[in-house]
Amino acid sequence: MISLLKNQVVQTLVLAAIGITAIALCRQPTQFGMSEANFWSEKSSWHQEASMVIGGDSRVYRGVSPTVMAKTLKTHQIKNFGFAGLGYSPEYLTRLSNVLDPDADEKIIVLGISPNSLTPKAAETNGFVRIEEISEEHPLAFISSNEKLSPMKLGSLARLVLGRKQPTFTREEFFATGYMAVQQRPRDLSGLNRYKKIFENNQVADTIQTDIIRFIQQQTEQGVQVFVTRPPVADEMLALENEKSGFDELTFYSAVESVGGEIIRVKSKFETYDGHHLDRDSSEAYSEFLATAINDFAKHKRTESAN
Amino acid sequence: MFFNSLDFLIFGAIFFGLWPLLRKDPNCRWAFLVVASFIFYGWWDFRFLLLIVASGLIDFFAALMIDKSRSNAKLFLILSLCTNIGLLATFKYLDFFTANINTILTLAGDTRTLPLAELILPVGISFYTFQSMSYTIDVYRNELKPTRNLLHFFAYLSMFPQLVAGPIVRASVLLPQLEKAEPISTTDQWKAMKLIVRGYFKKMVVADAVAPIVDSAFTSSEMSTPGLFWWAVMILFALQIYCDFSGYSDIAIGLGAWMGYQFPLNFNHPYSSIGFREFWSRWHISLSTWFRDYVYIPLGGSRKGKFLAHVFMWITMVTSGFWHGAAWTFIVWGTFHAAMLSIERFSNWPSALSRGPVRAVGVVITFALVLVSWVFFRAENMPQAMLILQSMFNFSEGISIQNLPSIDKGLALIVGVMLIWHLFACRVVESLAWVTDKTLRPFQPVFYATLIVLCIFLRGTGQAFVYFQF
Repeated sequence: MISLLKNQVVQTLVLAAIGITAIALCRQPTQFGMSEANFWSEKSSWHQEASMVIGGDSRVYRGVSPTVMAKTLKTHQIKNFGFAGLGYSPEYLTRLSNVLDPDADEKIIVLGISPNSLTPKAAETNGFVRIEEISEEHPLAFISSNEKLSPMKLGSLARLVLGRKQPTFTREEFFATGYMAVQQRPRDLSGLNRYKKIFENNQVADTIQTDIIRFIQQQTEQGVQVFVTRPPVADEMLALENEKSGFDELTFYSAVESVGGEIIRVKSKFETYDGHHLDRDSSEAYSEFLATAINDFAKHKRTESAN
Repeated sequence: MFFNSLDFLIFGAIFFGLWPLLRKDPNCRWAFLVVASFIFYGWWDFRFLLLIVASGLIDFFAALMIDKSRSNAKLFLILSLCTNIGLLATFKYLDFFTANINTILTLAGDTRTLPLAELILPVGISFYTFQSMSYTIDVYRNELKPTRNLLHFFAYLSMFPQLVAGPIVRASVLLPQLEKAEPISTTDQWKAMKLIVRGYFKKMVVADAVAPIVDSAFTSSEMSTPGLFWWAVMILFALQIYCDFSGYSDIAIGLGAWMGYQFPLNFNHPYSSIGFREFWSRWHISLSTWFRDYVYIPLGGSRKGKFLAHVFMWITMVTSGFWHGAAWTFIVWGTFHAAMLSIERFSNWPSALSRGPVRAVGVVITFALVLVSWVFFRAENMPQAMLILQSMFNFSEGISIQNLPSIDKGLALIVGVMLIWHLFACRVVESLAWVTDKTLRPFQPVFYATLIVLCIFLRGTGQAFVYFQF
């Protein structure tokens, strides 16, 4: 045993194991609920299991809580099919519609539209495709992501080792409904700088919008009610997107309504933690707002039918 | 499977757990090596195994026939070379030639288009075909006796640590080692471990961390950003490709050493070079010596006069560039290096800057020229490469640091330390190795344990080894 411990290879491995364990134990968890790996792998495998499905990018999967919506829309099974970095594509829209249960009495699709999700670059670096590829490619790819061993920045590691406080507080909770709740302090708007460059030579594409309109028309003809909403963002982000992205909201909304879709216009303010993602409290409030709007529409439709 | 994957950790644990037991008997040793290497290689796609087995069988029997029937030796050598080069031509270069023929047809006004084959490029094909060709060529040259044991041969050809990205190991170096099962001393184990840990650090902490920044720059709309932006990006790419590739080589050499086999050094602080001749004696050494021994010297080397020596050198460098990738950018990269080597031969400028304080100037000049060459290596196409080069030399807005790529401070610190080490400090410290080794010996386990901890917690998000695409 002593000769084994004198071996430098053994010494190194033992010291490394102690170091890794100590740091992992000292790390404050930031992720709660189900594991992130399972969150994405389960979402990627949904098939015919909801009467309402919500699609979109990270503003949707971090901004819409199906559980909160279900408190108002009591008869619905609701799933959040949002993906990080999503670019709308025919493949994604087909997968989205396949999440709907064909036997459901009332089928609803909600599309969260952000200008970035309508750009060619978002379609190229498609977060949806990457998650699907990983889930098809290798089961081990998901198992290896343990939060305690997840990568961190050198500054954060140094503060942890020296026993100093981390400058930011982050809490992420993953739900089986496809929603991720985020709390982050302090608010950090530095990500907006990245968005200033995103729309250079990468404007909202007519072809992508046309694909969405065609999709809405097909779904409407099949008896699915489609709602379109633009998830709320900070005023600075809204101004940036309206100026730089080439997104003509009014024209797009007219096209949606012309094929039977309904627009849910957001007039209230909702707090973001980074300029374009809602924090937990705001996302719950926004989810309630969406559910109420959809419920009001349903009531109105029933009243019209009765008359 | 990648070295930096959970799959490989499990594979490695099983392999090294069984290796001490199974290495004692030669046939058992070779069979175990072949089976393990085939599992390693087939993990990507089992169809890749068919190619390596087929080309390996042809080369094994061709070498035997070369040795047996010297009057027909050339015929069998040509068979071996055609098989290996044919594989490369088909899987790696077919679409390149097809696309260029289509371009010529279009320019000639012909509306016909040849279809692209779009074949999957088998991982490591550029490496194992070269390794296999060196075997048959050495047998032909009477520099090596062919092995008569098929398992022995495939253990050499398919050995997993260096199969997919080198170093390219000559049969004369590895086959004799494979015949024995020398005990592995604790000193050798420790040296191997240090190499493996350094390799993982370079790959996971440096290369994988800077890769997304470089990728983002090359896919962004910032081609025309003047000032220091593209110099900064190319410095990051220079670090990325060096740390990625030399990191892989370190891991491969370390794993080989753990198995009891010595692979040749593949990188020797290339960025501390003065001049391109020195650079190529330090960068991807196993490939540059392969091209020297199997292309440059057979063509005639420097034996046929200065002019032809230049011609043969240009052929060698351009071919080497083309080996790296089926694209004009790689050919231009090789051509650039050939031009730099020619200039050196004429002017002998490195010798003027190789002594004293001006040495640092020589290192910086060489590094800057290498950065320029890396633009062609990394760019998606020639127009992008030219646009980036234009931007690199556009100082119309002065030396502006405003548009430097956004980089985390901790990563910037690591990048800075790596640059200073690899350009200037490494050779000074290594010349004092006999002092540092003795003085620092007690602290080495702490140092390397720290590197392992950093690999876990500071690992970047990039994934595949860059040279896997070759």
